[in-house]
Amino acid sequence: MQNDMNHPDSLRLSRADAELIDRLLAGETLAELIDADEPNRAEHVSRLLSLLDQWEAKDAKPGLAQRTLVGVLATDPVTLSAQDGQALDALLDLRRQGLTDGPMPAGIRERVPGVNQVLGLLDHASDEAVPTDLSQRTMQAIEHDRQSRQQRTTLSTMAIASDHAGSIGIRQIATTAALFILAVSILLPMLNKAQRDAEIAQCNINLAGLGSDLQQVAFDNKGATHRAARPEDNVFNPLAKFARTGVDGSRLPANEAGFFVLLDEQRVASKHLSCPTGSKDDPAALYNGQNPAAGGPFRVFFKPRPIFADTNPLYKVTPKGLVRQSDLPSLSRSLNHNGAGQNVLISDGSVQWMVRPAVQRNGQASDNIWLYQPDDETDLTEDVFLTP
Amino acid sequence: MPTGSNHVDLTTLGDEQLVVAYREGNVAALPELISRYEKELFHFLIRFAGNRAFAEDLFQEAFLQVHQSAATFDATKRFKPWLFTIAANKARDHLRREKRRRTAPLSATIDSSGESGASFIDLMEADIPLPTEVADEAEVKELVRDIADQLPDHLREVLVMAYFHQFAYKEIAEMLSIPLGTVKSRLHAAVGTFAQLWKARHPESADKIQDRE
Repeated sequence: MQNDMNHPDSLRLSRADAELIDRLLAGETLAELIDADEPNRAEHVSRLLSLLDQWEAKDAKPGLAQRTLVGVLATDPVTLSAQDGQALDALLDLRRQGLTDGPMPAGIRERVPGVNQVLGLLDHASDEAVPTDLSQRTMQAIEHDRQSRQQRTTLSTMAIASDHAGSIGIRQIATTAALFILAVSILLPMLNKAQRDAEIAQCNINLAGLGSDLQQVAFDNKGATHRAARPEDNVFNPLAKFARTGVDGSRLPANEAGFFVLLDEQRVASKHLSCPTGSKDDPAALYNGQNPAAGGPFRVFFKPRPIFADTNPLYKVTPKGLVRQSDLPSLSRSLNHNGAGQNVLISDGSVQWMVRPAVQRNGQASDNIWLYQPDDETDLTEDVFLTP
Repeated sequence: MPTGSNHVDLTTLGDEQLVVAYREGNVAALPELISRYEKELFHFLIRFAGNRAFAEDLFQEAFLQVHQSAATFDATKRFKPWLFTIAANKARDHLRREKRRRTAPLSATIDSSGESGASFIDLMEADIPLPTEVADEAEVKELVRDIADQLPDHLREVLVMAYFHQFAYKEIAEMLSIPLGTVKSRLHAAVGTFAQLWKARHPESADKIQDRE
């Protein structure tokens, strides 16, 4: 290959170069034809083709040779010699200092003209006029962006506010709590009352069941149910074991002793003695019984009278056991239903809600069912009333 | 963004102070910055992108980025390299999108690192044709731009930064995130390749020079 291919006389075409040009003119690319390690061959061929380019019109686009060389140089640039590079660095350093000339490293000064020649070419790429409205258009674009951001921020804020509106703040919590308390204060008594009513109703149903049991016993015994007291001298009388010792030392038959016999014989269902109270300590208080017929058998066909009622208030069920209410006020009612009243089983089998179900005797409240009297000496250890 | 106080004479503030003022709400600071760099950045982008229309778009994109990223600007550093880094990145992205390289097929098969220095030009022996012997001023301008535009992007950006905008090599290295030595080698390659392309475009001028000699 020749170093100077600019003159036709210096043109030298080897067979390989000629074949290369043929293929390039046929449309193949240089990259397809030349190995990457043969940049000099590419340059050589480009220079050969540059002769052809001279035939092109002056204002025509770069010809094949130029395009080929550009491609080669783009991928394998030609760099400056070491001295030219140093001269370039020094010149640019001077330019940055606002100088056009200055001291140069030894052996570099003679390279300066060549470098300046190239830089002089670059200087011809004079600056184009800046569009007069470039700044204005730029600021408009920025303002548009700013407004878009503000709109997004506003929308975001609104969304957040909307989210906040859906969330619970302290004020809302306080308001809700106040409304809840108000609602609870209104509803709770209603709920409590409903609960008490339900308990009373269940108590009524159970007691009615007891009445039905006793009616069946009476039906089986010619109208008689159980008897209260029996002479203690009858050792065969199963009620004797329920006798208690009186203050004078005598053995007294227990009240409602006959009723326990019915329970023992399962003539009466124990579940019918349950009265829901709502109390944690005594959720199902037993009923108290009273046999107004005293020692004889109680007959259902007698004048209807109260025979069973809620728990005797004289004894209170506690976790430690039964506690006698020594300070119980006079005429205290059963506490099964908070002292509001009692379900009372009538001898005819009906159940009545009574607020003062005292057994009347001689026109006065007498032996209770169960309305506490101060002279009531019943004692759990001695008496067998259906106290708990 | 609030308008902020505009009582400060913005022309007395440094570039970095203007950015700080802008992000603190003084919206007039940005037009002041734009006016300071309007000419320089526009020319940088023309040389880099090789197209006036593209340069205008990139100019707006660059300052839009400044507006959006003002909060992240480190005021202890110089504004100009930051601005030109943004602009160069925009231009590079643009060039990639446009795939404007006419020699793309070649680059796929030949080493394109540009750092190999497989060949070099000795300018004392290069017989660079003088512009006055080539064409008139307008034609020279067009030719120079055309040839510069044909330089590989990575060489052209260093040439534009170092020669036309006189950034220090160290600043260019930071802006392009490349070693200082690479800046030098790319610049030397850019000048050498430019010279080679120029010479190749005007072999008749070289002949004239040779004839005179």
